[in-house]
This record gives sequence, structure tokens and C-alpha cells, in this order.
Amino acid sequence: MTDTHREAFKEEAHELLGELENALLELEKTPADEDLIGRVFRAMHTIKGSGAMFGFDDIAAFTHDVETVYDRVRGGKIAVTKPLIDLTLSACDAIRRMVGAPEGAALQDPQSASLTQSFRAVLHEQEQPAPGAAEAGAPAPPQRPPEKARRVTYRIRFQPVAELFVSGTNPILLLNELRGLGACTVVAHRERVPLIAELNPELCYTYWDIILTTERDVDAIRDVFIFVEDACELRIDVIDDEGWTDDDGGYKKLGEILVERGDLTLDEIKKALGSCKRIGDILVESGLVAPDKVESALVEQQHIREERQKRQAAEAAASVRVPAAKLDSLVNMVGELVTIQSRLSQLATRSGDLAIIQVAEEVERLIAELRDNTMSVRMLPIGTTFSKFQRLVRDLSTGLGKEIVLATEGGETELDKTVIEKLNDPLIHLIRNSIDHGIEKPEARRQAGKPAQGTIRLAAEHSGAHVFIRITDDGAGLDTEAIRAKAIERGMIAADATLSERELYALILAPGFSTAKEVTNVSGRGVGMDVVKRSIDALQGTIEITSQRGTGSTVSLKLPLTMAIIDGLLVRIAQAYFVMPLAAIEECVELTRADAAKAHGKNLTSIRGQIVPYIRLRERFSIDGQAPAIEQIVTTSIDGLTVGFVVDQVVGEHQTVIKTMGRVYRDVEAVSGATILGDGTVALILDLPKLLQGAEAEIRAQQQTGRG
Amino acid sequence: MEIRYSDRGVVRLEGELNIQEAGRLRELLLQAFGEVQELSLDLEGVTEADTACLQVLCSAHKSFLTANKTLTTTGVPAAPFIRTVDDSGYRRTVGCHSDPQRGCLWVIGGGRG
Repeated sequence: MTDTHREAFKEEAHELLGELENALLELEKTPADEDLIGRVFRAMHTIKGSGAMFGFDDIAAFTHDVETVYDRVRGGKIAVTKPLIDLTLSACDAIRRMVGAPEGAALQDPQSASLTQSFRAVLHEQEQPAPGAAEAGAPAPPQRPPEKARRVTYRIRFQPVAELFVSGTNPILLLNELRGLGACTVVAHRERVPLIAELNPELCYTYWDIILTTERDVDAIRDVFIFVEDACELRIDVIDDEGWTDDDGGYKKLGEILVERGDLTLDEIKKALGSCKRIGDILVESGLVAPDKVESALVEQQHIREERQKRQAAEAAASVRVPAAKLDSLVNMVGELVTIQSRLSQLATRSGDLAIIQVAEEVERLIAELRDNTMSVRMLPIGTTFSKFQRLVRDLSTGLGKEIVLATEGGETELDKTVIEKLNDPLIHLIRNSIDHGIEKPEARRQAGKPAQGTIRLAAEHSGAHVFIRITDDGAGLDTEAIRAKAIERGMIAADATLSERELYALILAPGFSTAKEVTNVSGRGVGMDVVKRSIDALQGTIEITSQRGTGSTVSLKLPLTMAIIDGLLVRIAQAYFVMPLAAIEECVELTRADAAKAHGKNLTSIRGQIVPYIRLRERFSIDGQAPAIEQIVTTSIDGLTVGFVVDQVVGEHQTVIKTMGRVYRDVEAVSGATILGDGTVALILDLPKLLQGAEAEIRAQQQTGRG
Repeated sequence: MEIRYSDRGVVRLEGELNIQEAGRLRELLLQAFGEVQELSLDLEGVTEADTACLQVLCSAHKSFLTANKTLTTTGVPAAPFIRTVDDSGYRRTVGCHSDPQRGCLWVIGGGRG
């Protein structure tokens, strides 16, 4: 066994354990959920199976008992309780330790030994009255081979004798037992049910077709009917076994199924096929087959199709593990390629050679696709990160004597891998803050008229080229007075400064606040928020805090989807080029000198009757020279506000490979990065919200001096 | 099983619809079959059901259809009833072929369970 295989197993085990934990935590909330129980069982089963395969015998042995317990849970013989969940969570931790530990060390681990004892105790408790106790409790040798069993689909026709009910048999129990074996579709045939005048209500007129896909063998099916063996006709046929029988394209035709079942002869089919309707309708209308039989055959067709689709989906889902570093270098190369491509396009256009232009366009199209594909490879759903926090919330809140649930939304939202990785720590910090300081103790909550159980909501959603992540708690909220007092004390604001709530909350992101213990105790926030801010800044994201005293706070993180390449609009002012992120842009309109004059010196213009304020970038960046007679306003939507930016010329769309700015320029406001154009010129990427904020602040300052 | 009649030809069945009650259920429906042209069954109050009673309902439906009469259900049947219909494989996506409207007691609440 090579090390790479063992490494692969370790990686897989960590993933499985993560999933297992999630399933367990969910199961704690809905203990009767069979899907979840199934998930727990399967995860344990896989860990055991692949553990044994890769020589982790200690893990296989340890997991065996846990698996056995969950097999019983699955069979409804053991109930899911909180102690059982706790025990299993500890088992997850133990397995995690074993995966990390040197071989054989784990079995000597006293903790895992006592866990094994506990699981066996659970089994013994259940066993006392139950039959079939012989197999359980036995020590470790895995009973089933770890290889994956084949899924076979059976067609079962169950025709009980009329006196079935009289003998006290409930056919539904039998059917449900079959359902326990695997994916199962049941169709009852009722054509034998007579008219009500002739009906003997105590006789069974119904018979059944059951299509069952299971990993168990035919004997397991026969066992279900063991008590009615003499009171029924039972026919079991294999109709599909993972492509071991005929598997050429689609499943059998309806007529073939009916003939195979003996419901119809081949001649009758051929005759019926003479007309041109759907065969099911023809057969029923001509009275050859009872409608139930047709429906049953259709159900079989459907069942097999679904099974085969599932199998295909499972095969398609097969994935390749690639080291992240390889992906990163791929992205880098695509970035270079994008830059070169825009250069090629420029040269081609300049040359005017049609053949070259055509090739350049083709290359451009392909590279755009390549770029999108490469980016999507790096995209991961944020849900995996979210679910990690369930355990954190559970453990932390229990430790603090608080009742807190974590609700998550939008876990399917995809973000660049690197963004997700760097998001982990800030999110933990924010959630910790909410648990620690935001949400009150149960009694305090009750007094405040809130439910004793606090809720932390973690939500993610897409919006243009950004992802919003919101951490909301229904706790005490921020104490604005305490924040103000502290800020004044630390000289961060003047004693008489008027700040909006938003600005006030933003103060707690300042480094000075992190060490201020008093404020932490009063306001409940400020612990290391500067660290969070720094991480989010590094991701080119922004933080916004809103809060209401007594009802809770929300921290919103706005993050770029990716940090590598964006779609931008290239604009020019004099000889300087700038890129605006395309996602925020609404439209481009002309601005003539006459238009500008109409506004009497105010930077306002009317677009289709709507007054739109604009910012002259030429002025903002103090670029010398005369603006052309006709300028362009690029209108954008920033935080719901329509704002125009005036430039000399709109060059066009540009795939922008983002290069971070050197350290010297890191603190330059209004510029979020730079990119290199095809001809080698550097274009700055504008941070439109920051530009707007800067302009707003300037206007406010002017107004204040104007007043004073 | 409890049976309640309302003024609009609706019969409300409540409680357990099982083999012990199948005889009474049959008598009730047989009698109604002889007396009315249209009958509607209200199954909201059913707390338990089994295959025997489903057979009786199915048989009644067939009889009504054969005699050009109407038997329908009203409202949403109780969850235990729907579960029995699903568990016993009685649910259908298309109604009875003998019914011109393709109506059926077993096409309940949309898709197959």
C-alpha cells in the first residue's frame, strides 16, 4: 500500500467526518429523519470499508461498533437520543485522532476503548428483548466485505390468496419491509375488485407488482414473504443489475415488459401495434390488458430509468483530486493569456488584415471560455465552510450556558476557493463574538421578552460580481453610547462630532478598540474586530455593521467572487486609462458642454427625466488639460444609488486581470488594483464606492465650511 | 368508524377505516349507491386505514361509474389515509379508464408519493 493511497484515504476520511458531523447535528434536531440516519450509517460504513482497505485496521475495528449501532437505528430498533449523538460526536473526534495518529496507536487510546464499550452497551441494551442477538456484540472483524455490493433491480409479483386478511396479515407491513431493502415502487392491481354488491369486504382482491432496487440478494426478498409463503403466489425476476444484463440504451419497451410478465402475448401486441396510438392507450382501449397492469409496467419502466439515471449521475460525479497549487498556476497562466490576447486583438485591429482579425476574434472567444471554465473550477460552495460552524456554535454555546441555534442560508453560493479559505477565520471570529457577547443568557432573553433560544443566521447570496455574507444575531445589539464614549476617550472622534450610526459602528473596526476591555464588557463587541477588517480588506471586501439595541446586530461582508479576473469597462481620460468593474455599470451617455451648463455649475444631469449626480474623474484625479467637447458619463449603481462618472472616452469592455498594487500605493483610496493593457500600459482599477464616499465627504466638508 | 351526513350529499368518515369496519363501510356505500346519483366522501377525519377499506372504496367507485353515477372525495384526505394509499401502492397518476373524466379516488394531491 503506497503512501499516496493512505493520504487519499486520510483526506477522504476528513471529508466524511465533516459530513458525518453535519448529519449528526441535523439528526439531533430531527431524530426521526430516515435520510439523515441513512447518511450517518453510510458515512460510517464508508470510513470502515475504506479504512480496512487501506490498512487502517484500528479505524475499521473502532468504526465497526458504531456502524452496527446505526444499522440498528436504521432498522428502527434503537432510537436516536441526545446521549447517542454526543457519543457519536465523540466517536468522530476519536476517528479523527486515529486518522492523524501513527498506526496502531489508537487502539491503546483509553478514550476510544471506552467509547467502544459505550457503543457495545447501547447494543446490549437493545438486544435483551430482541431476537437475532447472536450476531451483535461480537468483536471487531468486519462482517461484510468492504467492496461495494451490486445493486440489482427485481420485479416482484405478489398475489396473495383471497383469505389473506382473515389470517391477520396486513400487506402494507410486507410492502414497507420491502421498502426497507432499497428503492421500491409499488403498484396495486385492483381489476379483480368486484362491484360493491358482490364485494366481500374481508377478502383480498388486490395483488401487487413491486419494483425493488437493492443490494441485498433474492433471499432477503423471500424472507419478507416467509410468513405468507403458503398464502400467496410469489414471482421474483431480475430485471436490471447494473449493466450486467442487457444495457444497450433505454430500458425495455412497455409492450416487452407486459409480454415478459405474461400479461400479454406477442401476437396480441403485434396486432395492437397496427394502429398508431400510444401502446398503453391502445391496449387498454382494446381491453387486452387492465389499466392497472399498464400502469404497473409504466412504473417499472420509470423506476429503472430513474435507477439508471442515478447510476449515470454517480458516475458523472466521479471527480479528480488536484492539488490547489496546480489550479493556482493554471489561473495565473490563464491570466497571462488574457493579457496577451488583448494585445493580439489590438494589433490585429491596427493591422486591418481581415484574416488576422478573424483569428484574433476566435482566440478571444476561446480564451473567454477558458477563463470562465478555469474560474469555475476554483469555485466552491460556501456551504462546506458554513456547516463547520454548526459544531462550533453547539460547543461554544453549551460551554457558556446559552441556547443558540445556527441557521444557514445560501450554502450553495459559490465563491473562489482562495476567498473561501481566507474567510474561515474572520467568520469564526464574528460568530464567536455573536455567541460570546451578542446573544444573552436564556433568563436575560426571557426577561427581554425574547425566546430563550437565540439564533445566529449565516446567509450568503450572490449579487453581481459580489457575494454578500451576513451574520445576524438576535442578541442585545451594540451600545452606541458606549462606543461613542470610548471613541472620544481614545481621541478617535471629537467630543461634539455628529456621526451617523453607520460611521459609529465602523469605529469598532479600528485597531484601538480591540484591546479596550471596558468597552468589550459594556458594548459586547470590539474584540479583534480590526483583525476581521484586515482579513476582509485583504480580500478586497467591505464590512458593514448594523445594529438595533435590544434586537440584535448584523455584520454584512461584501466580497468579490474572485480575486483574479473581472470583466471591466476600459475608459480614458487624457492619456490615462482606467478600468471600472462592469458589474456595477448601468449605461453610458454623452455629456455635452451645453448639458453641463444647464445645471448651473452643479454636477447633475437629467437622464430620461431622472436627475443623476455625477463625478468628474478628470477633476477628482487632477488631470491637466482640456476636456473634449463631448464627454461620456458612465452611470453606475452603488448601494442602490445611481451615480455617473465623467470620462473623456469609453474604450470598451476589457477582461481585466487584477494585479495588486505595490505596498507604496496600498493605501491609495479609490483604486482597488491595476491591470496591464495589451500594449503594456498600466490601467488603474477604480473602486467606485470609495470614489463616491470620497466625493460625498468632500461635499460635506464644503458645506460645513460654507456654513461656518 | 363514525359516519356523519351533511346536507350536500357529503358523507364524512371519521376514525378508523380498517378491516373491522370494512363490512359497515360496504353497507353504507351500497345503500348510498342505491339511493343517490352523486356522493362525495370527506376523509379529513380518518385516523387509520388499511387495504381492506381501500378495496371497498375502490369497489364503490367502480360501481358508481358503471351505473353512470359519481363518487368523489372532497377536501384533503387525512394524512394517515394518504399514507395508506401510498404504502399500499394504490395511488395512481392517471385515473380509472372506465371513468370518462379519468377521475379516480387514488389520484390524490398531485405526484406519486
